[in-house]
Amino acid sequence: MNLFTYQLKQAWLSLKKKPGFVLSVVSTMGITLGALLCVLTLAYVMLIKPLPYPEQARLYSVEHHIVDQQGESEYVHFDYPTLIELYKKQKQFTQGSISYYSEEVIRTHPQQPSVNTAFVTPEWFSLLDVPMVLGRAFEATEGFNSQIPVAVLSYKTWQDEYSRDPNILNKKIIVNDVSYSVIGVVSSSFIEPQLGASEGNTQLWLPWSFNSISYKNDWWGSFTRGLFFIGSLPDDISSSQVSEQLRNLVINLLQPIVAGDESFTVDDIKIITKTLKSAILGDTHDLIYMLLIGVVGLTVIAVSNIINVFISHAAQQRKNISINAALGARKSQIFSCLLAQASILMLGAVILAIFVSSFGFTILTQYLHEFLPRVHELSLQIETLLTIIFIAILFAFAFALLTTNTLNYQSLNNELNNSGKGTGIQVSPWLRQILIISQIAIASALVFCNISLMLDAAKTITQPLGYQRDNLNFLSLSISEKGNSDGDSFDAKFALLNQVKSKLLALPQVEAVSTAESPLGNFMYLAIRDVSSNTDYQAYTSFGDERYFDIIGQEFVIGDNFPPQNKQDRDQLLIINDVFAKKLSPNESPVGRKLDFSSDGTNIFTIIGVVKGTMEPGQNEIPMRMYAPSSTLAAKFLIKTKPNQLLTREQVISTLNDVSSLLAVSQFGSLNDTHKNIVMSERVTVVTAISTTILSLLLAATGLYGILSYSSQIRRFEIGIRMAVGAKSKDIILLIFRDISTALVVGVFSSILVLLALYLGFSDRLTSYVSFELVPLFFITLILISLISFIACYLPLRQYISKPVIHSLRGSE
Amino acid sequence: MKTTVLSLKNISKIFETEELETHALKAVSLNINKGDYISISGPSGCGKSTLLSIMGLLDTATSGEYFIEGSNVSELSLDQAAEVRNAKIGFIFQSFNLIDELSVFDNVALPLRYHSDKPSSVAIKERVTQCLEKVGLSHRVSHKPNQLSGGQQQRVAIARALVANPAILLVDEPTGNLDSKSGDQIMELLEQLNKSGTTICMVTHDPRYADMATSKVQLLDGSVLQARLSQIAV
Ligand SMILES: Nc1ncnc2c1ncn2[C@@H]1O[C@H](COP(=O)(O)OP(=O)(O)OP(=O)(O)O)[C@@H](O)[C@H]1O
Ligand SMILES: [Mg+2]
Repeated sequence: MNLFTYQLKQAWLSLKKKPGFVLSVVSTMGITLGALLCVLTLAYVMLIKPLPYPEQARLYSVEHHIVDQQGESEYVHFDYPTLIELYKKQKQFTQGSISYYSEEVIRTHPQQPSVNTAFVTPEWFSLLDVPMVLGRAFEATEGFNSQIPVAVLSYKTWQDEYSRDPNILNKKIIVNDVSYSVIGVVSSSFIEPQLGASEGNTQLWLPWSFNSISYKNDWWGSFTRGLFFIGSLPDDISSSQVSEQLRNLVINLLQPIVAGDESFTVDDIKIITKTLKSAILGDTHDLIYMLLIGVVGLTVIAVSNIINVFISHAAQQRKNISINAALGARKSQIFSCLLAQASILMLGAVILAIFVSSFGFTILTQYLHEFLPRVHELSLQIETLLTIIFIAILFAFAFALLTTNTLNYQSLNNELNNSGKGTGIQVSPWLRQILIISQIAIASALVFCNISLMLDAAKTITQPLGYQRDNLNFLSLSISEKGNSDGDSFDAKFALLNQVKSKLLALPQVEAVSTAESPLGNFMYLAIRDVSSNTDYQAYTSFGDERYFDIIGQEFVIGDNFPPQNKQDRDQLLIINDVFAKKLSPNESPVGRKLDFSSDGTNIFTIIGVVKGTMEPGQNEIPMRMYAPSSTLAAKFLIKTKPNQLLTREQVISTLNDVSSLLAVSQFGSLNDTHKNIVMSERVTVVTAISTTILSLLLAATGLYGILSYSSQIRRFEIGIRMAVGAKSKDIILLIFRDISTALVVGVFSSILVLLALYLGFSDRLTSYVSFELVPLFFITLILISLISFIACYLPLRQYISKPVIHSLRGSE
Repeated sequence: MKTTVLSLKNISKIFETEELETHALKAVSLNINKGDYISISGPSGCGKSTLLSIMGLLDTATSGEYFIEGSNVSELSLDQAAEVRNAKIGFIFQSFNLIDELSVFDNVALPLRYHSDKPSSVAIKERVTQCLEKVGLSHRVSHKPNQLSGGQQQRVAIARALVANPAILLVDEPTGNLDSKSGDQIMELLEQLNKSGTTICMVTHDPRYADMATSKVQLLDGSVLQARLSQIAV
């Protein structure tokens, strides 16, 4: 032990003289271990770490799945009546809570901010044991049916919107014309489960009974986003039993309603009870596994680079080591000397890794919190830190062991006597080949995977959706009912909206305004019945006025547009898309058909036209859709600006203020920005994939360069002799390239094996990526890798082939 | 009538290092005719090896002109020089300079593999065997150089130098790493080769071996001291 401390000291002294070596090892391993630490921590937090709630193991989320009629896709949404019945009738959960997430405007606030709002039953707070910094959470009396207007603020809202007003309790805030009194502020330490649209960023909690859902009690089969059920289960019941029992409950409710309907059967409904943890995780497993595979690949490349650096470094220290050997150092002592050096370097790398990973955590929390659940919980975890330290120790041993084994101990002793060619230390050819093969195999696999991920994501980003988004903005208003006497509220609202429309149109940069839902907005999934065939359908529904299709450039296939809107004209008209048309009436025009929204003949719409279908970002198929004329009271607008002119939120707000103080912006933004947000995860994928590709190519290139420059240094004499007897530069380049070409071919084959293994391991998730388009992609990868190998061959040779031969023939430097 | 194989005119070589300039060769002029056996001798550091490497196009002169078989080779590119070396020049060095990984056969065949005519493998085999017979090593074709004695290694190097039928053999201290007996054998072999028509230019500081040459060149401090042409050999 004493000897090892001595050796540590010696190693420290000798490393101090080699700053370049230290820098390359510590920086490469530090960055690699940092990335590894970051991804391992991410995986740990998401896959293993318990949720930060006391009863977390008992918390479950219930999901309502509907298999669509083609049996192809599943929708995970509740319809309002089902959720309510589930909440009222279930007996399995000791406590259950329902919640709805939306965005609402706080009207009493001077800026009228629109905030992420959760309408919840009181159990929500007790299930998650929400800590409060001020006041209290909802009580049982503020439950499901109560009409007590109380509000709870998030810490951030209290801080940002109310500058931490200590007297906030009992103050009134007005949302949707209801005046709520603030009863509590949630503590900043609370980490909200990431369910639903608020993504764990709820700013305001209101009692369930005040929820702003439009389609409530009788809307069976009309599914609304943002509805959730969470509850805690006793230990003696399994989640599959619960699912089974809840499904029976739901089916018993539905049976009388869907009776006689042939197209819809209760078989289409599934209830899935999963732990809250896995509900939060959603389908991000794949992403985590991909990140893990990527980072492990990069680590292998980096480690083989460093092995080579170590061995070349030992080769340079040949003289030193030989003297030690001559003085009687045993092989094990040389090993522990090298181990001491490696340990110091790995210590430095681990320290750097900690900084790199905390930088990584910051980036992840800042930019990826919307797609990666639980990143708010990211911080250095003792479990993963220990793993990294263990890995670093393994690496230190591996580096020292491999280096010691490449030293030819026998010839070391002769080293001093023979001042000859110095073949005492050479990287054995097989080790060199293995280093090259592993670099090439992993780099090609990584490059291939990343380029295909990138292309796939880029396809989604640039995918044409069947309409145009340029110069289009979407505006959604919230209108206060206050100030109108009840009798003429309808007329007043209509007049107000008309005024807004004409004021907007009067703005110099505005070209057209349509009362319509955004084509990127939430289409409602509504159930309808074809009157002539008595068949039920479900289709996504939106609304627009007569300018809508023209403004977004969606073409008509057949039939007419909506007639110009006016107050009296409340026709029940409908335009459907071509996909729905084909389903509804494959052989003849569906124009004139009647669809019933109520299933009892009270709400019948007539189809007047068919438009070309539009796509949702990231989908491969055009869904069935229908468009109803916008209600004259709809407060949603598509605003088209003149080319290259901008409409700002401030301009919109001041226009609204000119019209009436009862108006507030609840949503405003350009369609292009909204689209960018929708495809954010694809954009992140593109950036990550490009950086990983460049990083793997760079690492592989420097690694191959290191190996090849070392081997061409060793072969310097041979190169000199070959040139002396007439070899030209291209002969020499070919010679070295041929030398690694076997390794290149084996490497590429191993990468195919790696890819096949990945494919077999994850085939269910990867099938959508695999196609013949990947073949040319694989060739591109091959070309890139060969090019890199060739450059890595050529660069170290340049010094020999660009000077007179005598330089290579003379003794080593 | 003698044909000139190699002719140097006012060749100078200056090595520039950070501290000093070394004038390794100072305006050396020299003619070598077909069938000559020339020895170059002089004290250590006088520029013998430098002269030989310029003659062998392994290095370039700082100034002066150099002709091989009448064509000017002073300004060749590196690849052109390689082609001329391959076709016209055979090297024999003090330290054998064989490639450890290649067999005796492949070492000898090496110049033919880089030959612009791209000889067939049958032709290569025939030529290599012929040259190995000349040096008395035809029974060791598949050995690796480190399985041979020093003298045998040097004979492999001679076979390699001969294999492409060069216009001249450039030989630098061929016996330096050998005991006197093997040294003598190598010198005998060179003499035989010269007798059968090979032009040889040899650097040595062993006066005994220098005397075996038909003409002697004495170098001192980068200049030719004395070039005595003897007429013994025809
Ligand atoms: N690459 C070089 N850089 C600087 N100086 C050099 C270089 N090569 C040779 N010299 C110098 O040129 C001079 C001639 O060297 P050269 O090797 O030709 O001597 P030599 O006659 O062959 O000596 P020896 O009999 O010891 O082999 C020497 O002074 C040497 O130091
Ligand atoms: Mg010399």
